[in-house]
Amino acid sequence: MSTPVPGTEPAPILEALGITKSYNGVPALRNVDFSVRAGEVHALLGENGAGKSTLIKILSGVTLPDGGKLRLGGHSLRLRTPLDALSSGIATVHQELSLVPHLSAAQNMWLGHEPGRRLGLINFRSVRQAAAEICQRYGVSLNLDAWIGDLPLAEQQVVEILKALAWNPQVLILDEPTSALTAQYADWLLGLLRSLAQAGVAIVFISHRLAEVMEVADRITVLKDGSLIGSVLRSEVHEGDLVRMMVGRELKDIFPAKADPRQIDSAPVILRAVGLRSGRALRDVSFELRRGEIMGIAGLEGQGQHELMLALFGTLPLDSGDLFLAGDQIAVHNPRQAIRHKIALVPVDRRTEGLVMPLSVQQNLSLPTLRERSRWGLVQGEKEKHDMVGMASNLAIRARGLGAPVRTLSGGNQQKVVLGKWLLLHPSVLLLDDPTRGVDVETRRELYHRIRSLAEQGTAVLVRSTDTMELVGLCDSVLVMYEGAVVTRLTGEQITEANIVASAVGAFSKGMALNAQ
Amino acid sequence: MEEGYPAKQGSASSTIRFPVEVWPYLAAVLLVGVGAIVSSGFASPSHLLLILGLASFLGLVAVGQTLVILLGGIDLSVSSTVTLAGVMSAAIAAGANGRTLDAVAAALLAGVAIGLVNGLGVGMLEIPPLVMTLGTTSVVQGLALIYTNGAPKGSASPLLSTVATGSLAGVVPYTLLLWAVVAALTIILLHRSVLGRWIYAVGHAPKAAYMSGVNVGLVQALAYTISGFMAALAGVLLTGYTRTSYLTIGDPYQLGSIAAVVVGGTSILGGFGSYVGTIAGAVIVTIIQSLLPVLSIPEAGRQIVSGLIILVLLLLYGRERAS
Repeated sequence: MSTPVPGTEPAPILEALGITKSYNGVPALRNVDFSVRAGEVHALLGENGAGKSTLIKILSGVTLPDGGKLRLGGHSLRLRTPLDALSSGIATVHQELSLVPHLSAAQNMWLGHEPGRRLGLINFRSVRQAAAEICQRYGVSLNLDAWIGDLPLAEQQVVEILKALAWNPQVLILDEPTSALTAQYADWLLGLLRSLAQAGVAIVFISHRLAEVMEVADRITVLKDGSLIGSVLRSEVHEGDLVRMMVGRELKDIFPAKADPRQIDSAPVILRAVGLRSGRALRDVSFELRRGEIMGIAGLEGQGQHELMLALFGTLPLDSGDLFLAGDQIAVHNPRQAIRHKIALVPVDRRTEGLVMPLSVQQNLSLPTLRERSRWGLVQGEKEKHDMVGMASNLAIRARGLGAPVRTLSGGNQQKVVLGKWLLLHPSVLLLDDPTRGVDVETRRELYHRIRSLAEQGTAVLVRSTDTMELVGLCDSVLVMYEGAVVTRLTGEQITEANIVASAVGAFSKGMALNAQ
Repeated sequence: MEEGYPAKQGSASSTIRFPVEVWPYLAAVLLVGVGAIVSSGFASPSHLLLILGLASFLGLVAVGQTLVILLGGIDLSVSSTVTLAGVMSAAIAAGANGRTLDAVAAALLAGVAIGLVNGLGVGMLEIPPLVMTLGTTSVVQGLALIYTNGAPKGSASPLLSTVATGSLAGVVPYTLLLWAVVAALTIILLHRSVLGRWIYAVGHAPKAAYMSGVNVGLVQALAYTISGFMAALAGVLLTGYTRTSYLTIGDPYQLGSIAAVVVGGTSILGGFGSYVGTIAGAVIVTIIQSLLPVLSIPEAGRQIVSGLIILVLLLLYGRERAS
């Protein structure tokens, strides 16, 4: 461990002093000081829109600050491009993946500084070899030759991390690296960060998962609304202190009260799935979802949870199996049919699937239900505006106005728009596919309460999440999936993080045993 | 949830972005000024109305092209559709007023059919628009050749010619009036209708639109069908304007209509733009085409110039988007 001893703290390696930055007159950072020392893991916390990503962009040469200066190893530093940062030894893993889909993992890892490059020609063998060495050094095994676009998201994120490490940085910056990782890879990464720190690398780490931050960080800096709230040693704080610094609220207040189990058990079944199968992704999935129930879908990454969501919304064809909505058999072959049955999906990728980013808040909100607000094919402007203003204020969507392009909103507010557009449908079944990914604590709390009150009004909710704590805090029941099938159903007091992980991993070990025979 | 929502700001039609719409109009005015310098009388009201009347044909073809390009597609087959509709309306009418309706209806139906084929190919079979419409271009050219046996017959009915060449009170060309009506309908379609909203959504993010329940294939099929219809309408009027028809009558409208759309500020990548800009774009392209002969630039030179103008504009627009 490299927890600094007061009085003997090494000098910071990378310092940002008095950084200010505004976008179109809106301040994103106000006079922020930030510094990281060699050999420390420094977590950067804050809600979405607090300025974390802006600070990271300035430290990595993507964005120029309006004011303030950077120092590296005591010397003043000026970063004009990301390459300036990389050649100064500052490598960054950004939140958005920067991989080229039709290159292999190996080629992506060394993109731009391929080893063994001569006369502008790439020696693919030495690139492949260098990539294999990196994998070995950091203890991962990956398919290095497949197109990166064909690898699971978690492995793409691992490649993104290895790509930064290929620069052999003295400062490594990671912006929410674990949000796309499976539990195993997240463990791998946290271990890796510790050993890198021990080897003297300075690490800046952004995460929304407080447990992770408490596990791996030496020092924690909290930003709020573009200002520095404080910089503390991990050993001196508890999670609750951090949440209070970020949002001024206790962690236990984040989740709403659950439903009365007896009431759920006596409620009518809204959605019944019998023997759903689709290729290798879904093999025999059956469940009953009741009116007012919030049911979680858990499991290791890639066990068919995401595909189940897609199948129920009609974007993944089923080979066999039956779906019943309130007792009637239904066919769902595309989203239009799903929507007709009042089944809604908040998709995993809000940027490409959930929202039309350049269109306004109002236009996004009303898109699925536009025809309800039209006559003779023409949109009834006043009615639309009235309804959307109502929804926007109901969800407390923070935007410059209903006409503001949705891309100008923070991630949490964008997710509120995605939820809002489906609330206007008055769904009987709401599917949520990892709904709080990259969403700040305060907005999470708002979303959880909104989802619960929707359930109380009779909507049946199915939520897939990569955040086990979220399922524990929110759900009335949890299905654990393994290899495309439901292996465990947990209810009431059984829903604990330990039980979920045990079921997922237990199924995993059983599967391994079967394969070994 | 006590944060109030600022309801008074913003509007639904934020896709109309002020500067993008204004530039082509300024450019059109500038070009008229240039025209007045090189040729006296160019800026006279009667000549300007003549130019606008000519621009109507292009403006009509560019209606469909605007919808299709907003969707991120392209319709290369408008030129051959103009030609086929042109030769059909001349051949069927054969100079007789009594067959005007037959001729017009048949030509428009042919246009709708071509557009529908494009729309089904792009929307349902998911063939890339460039390939699909290039293919139909070739097929329709072949059909026009078979239909005319290489030598277009007949001529427009006098009635059609009167509509295409006449003017209200001897001042405002009928074609210009028709264009004004169609333009108004197009703008309403794009900015006030459900289909228009869907077009912008699909143009920006087809996947998000699909996941929101928009029938993406249907939207595309409708846009290409409208494009086929508008191209055929222009072809019919063009035959009325020239009285006879010929097999290359539609050729200038392929690049011309794409130029009008792009000059008008619509992104060739889809999503951004509107027909308001295309109107100015059609006028600009028509002015350039009528100025080049005045400057005694031969046909070959005109083609080179219009090609270069499009490339330069694409370059400029691409820069603007990237920044």
